[in-house]
Amino acid sequence: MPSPYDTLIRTPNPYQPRSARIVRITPLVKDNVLFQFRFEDEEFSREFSYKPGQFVELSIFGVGECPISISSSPTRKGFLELCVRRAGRVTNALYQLKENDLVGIRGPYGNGFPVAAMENKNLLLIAGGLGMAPIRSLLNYALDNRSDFHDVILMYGARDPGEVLFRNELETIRHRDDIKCLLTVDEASSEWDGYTGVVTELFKEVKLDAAATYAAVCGPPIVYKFVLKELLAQGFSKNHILMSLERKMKCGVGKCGHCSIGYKYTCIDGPIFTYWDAMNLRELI
Amino acid sequence: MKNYLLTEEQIIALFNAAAEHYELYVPVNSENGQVFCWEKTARLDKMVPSNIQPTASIKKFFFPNSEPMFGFKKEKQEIELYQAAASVPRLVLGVHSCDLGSIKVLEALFKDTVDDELFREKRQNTVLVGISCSAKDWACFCSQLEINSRFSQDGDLFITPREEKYILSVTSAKGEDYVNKYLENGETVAGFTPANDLGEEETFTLDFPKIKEVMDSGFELPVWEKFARKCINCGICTFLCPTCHCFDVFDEARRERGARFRCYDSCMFPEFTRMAGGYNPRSAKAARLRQRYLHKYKYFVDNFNLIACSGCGRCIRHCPVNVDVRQNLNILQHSGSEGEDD
Repeated sequence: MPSPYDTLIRTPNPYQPRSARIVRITPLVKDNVLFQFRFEDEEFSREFSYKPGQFVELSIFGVGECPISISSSPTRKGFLELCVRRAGRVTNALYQLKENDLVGIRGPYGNGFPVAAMENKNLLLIAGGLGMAPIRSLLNYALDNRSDFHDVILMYGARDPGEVLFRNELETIRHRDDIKCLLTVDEASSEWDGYTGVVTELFKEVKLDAAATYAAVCGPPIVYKFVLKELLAQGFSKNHILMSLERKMKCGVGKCGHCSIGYKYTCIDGPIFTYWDAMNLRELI
Repeated sequence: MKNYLLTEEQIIALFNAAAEHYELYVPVNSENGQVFCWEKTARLDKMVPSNIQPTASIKKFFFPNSEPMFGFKKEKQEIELYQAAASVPRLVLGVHSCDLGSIKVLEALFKDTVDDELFREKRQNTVLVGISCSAKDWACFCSQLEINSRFSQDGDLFITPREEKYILSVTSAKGEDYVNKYLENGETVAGFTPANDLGEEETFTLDFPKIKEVMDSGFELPVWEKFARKCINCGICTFLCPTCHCFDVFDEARRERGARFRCYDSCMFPEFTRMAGGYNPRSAKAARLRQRYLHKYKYFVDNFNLIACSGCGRCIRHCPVNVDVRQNLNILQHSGSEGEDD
């Protein structure tokens, strides 16, 4: 077999990532860190765009690659933020890196949230645990394009106050009057001034016009189980309920087969699926 | 379609003529009669055999067991990427209709959404020469998929014996280029009628549209559990299958240099869908077997209007526990509404 080191790049193939530098590392909660990256190629960095809800493939050369949802909003150019939980081989290797170290990134991949269709509607963003990572992209997108949307409501549930991601940011957002930001934890501590209880409890705190609202949900399987039931009870139509799902992925471009669910691939047809998709695709949730 | 009438010597000369520019691959008989794969040969000295279907399928020429996707060199302040070297032009001889028929499945997949250059470059660089099959065995079922074992236009050239001579059919532009370049004094024939399929001893007929219909609403059928009881999830069927294309991606590195590779993976393995956090959407064996069947005979049809199966029979011939996909599909096609099985 010819050695892959011998010839310089002639044509880049779709599996080759671009070099990106870690510009800032912000620990959020235990084993969850926000990494800010900037592509080495300045022109590419300036032009790099994506939709909230899309993901990238993150490479640590010599270790491997894994899909991570984008946490930053495309409205804020020049950098890319990924909220990464330490879970497997690649994320463990990422945690060993420091600011100014190099990684590889390719993407963006996936369909993303249908933001154009969501304009002039109310947005109900529901996140559980690490599900806040992709929801933050949509949240900041909505705040930066505030006049494009009617009411914006965030419902975010975490296990305890120490597990709330982006807490400082959310504290600031809580005091804005153009968004309703509801935070809840399963187990409160004395300093906690948000709600206590599971995220579905928060439905009592808001009045929803389901017909004029898009719901975007992301969280562990248990969140879908209860939140979807509640949304249907509120009268949401099935294609106004959007979910960001995760699957094992390798290629990110619909070839390798790992993320196949029914006739869809999570990497190209998802990761955003409607409840309508979920009804027609077994194994989806 | 142009057809030439050639003698054995002419056929041999035609493929030897390009030996300088092409690597030549032929299925050859080893001592025990088994042929694992096409073997590289310097020169062709006798006619290409028509009775050999190698154990490994044709896919490995375009989608090898393992291949580098790119190389990398990590410096402190820079990462350099290296493209995998270009493939060598190849001439693969003696390919049966089933393998030729499987290629359009992989082509559809690797071209869709994002063009996979690793696959395309090798396919473009390979001339496939089919041959009229002269020996079906007990596991063959290409007839059921309406593949003619004795003639196919899915490759670049195709050889059919006629009396003491051979008809060489030109079945693609690439095949035509090859013939124009290397054939000397070829006599064309008009009115060539391809031979009919060899036929098989069928005990039942597989109705693929009907099977798809059953599958469309058959996610919860009890037969999946039944099929899975026998299966040991070894993955042999997926590795040998000419249309299975799932792959894993991994890095190999020594100090600052390394490469990213892809290699065959199998949806039969529990790790195939297990995520870093531990959640596995297809942890049950029956769910994985169902995935494989549905992917071949339903999902691929939904997406590309192609059945991801060419009836080559490798999965039947080489299964260590005698799982026979034909029998399972037969059970499926009769278990539509009432659940007549069990």
